[in-house]
Amino acid sequence: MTYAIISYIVCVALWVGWALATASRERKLRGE
Amino acid sequence: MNAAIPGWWNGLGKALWLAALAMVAYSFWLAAGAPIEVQMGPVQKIVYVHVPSAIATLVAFGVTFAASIAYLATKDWRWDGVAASSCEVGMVFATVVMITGPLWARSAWNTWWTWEPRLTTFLILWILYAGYHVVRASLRSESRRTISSVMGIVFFINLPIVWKSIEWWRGSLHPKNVTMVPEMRVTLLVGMAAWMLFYGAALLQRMRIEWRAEALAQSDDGVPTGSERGARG
Repeated sequence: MTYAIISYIVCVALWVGWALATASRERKLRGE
Repeated sequence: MNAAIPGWWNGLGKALWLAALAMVAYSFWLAAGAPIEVQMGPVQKIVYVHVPSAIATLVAFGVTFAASIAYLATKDWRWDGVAASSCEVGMVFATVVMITGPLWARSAWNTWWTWEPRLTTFLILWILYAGYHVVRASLRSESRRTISSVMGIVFFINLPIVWKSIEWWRGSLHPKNVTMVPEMRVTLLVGMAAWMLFYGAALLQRMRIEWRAEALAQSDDGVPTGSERGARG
């Protein structure tokens, strides 16, 4: 059960990290 | 060619994000309530995120392949943008697969890693496409788009190898066919649909960076970039 929970947490964390990084790059390109 | 983000792009992006996040949440809810597999127990639920992510990885790199060909044929920078964006989104999916796979393997096969055909070929896939980003990031010249496209086409060779590896080599621990009870099958199918929607939303989101970067390049130069001139013929 622990490994299943870790899998889902890792999946969500990776995508949240990617979304934040992508938003940050776009803000930088907009000159904000 | 104008590098401003079209209005419909924003609308479609928001709609896709809403649909994708709702579907992913629904797939997680279904996974939580899905029947417990008799042999493996609750850890089997990893499959509902692992398999859809693996499928999305192959689709994303397939799109990179097609867009790379389109770029070389047309020299339209937007195809290169699609290829690079899809490759980056595919890398996140591939990383999810590379992390959830060993977590599954530890429970199912009593080892974190084994050099069986599917794992080995998928690791090669991950390394190849990581290389795509490293090489692309290191290039600043006009040839960046062309070299990236060539990589996007050449690296695609590994995709059918990953797909067929369990048939071509002996010793695969990945099953060729899986029998599931209907509730499990529905959960897996919903997961696949959810993560494909998510892929579409993420691709549109990542493509915005390409639009912005191109707009910046055009405004810095005061003239269209080299690829733009190429696209105009």
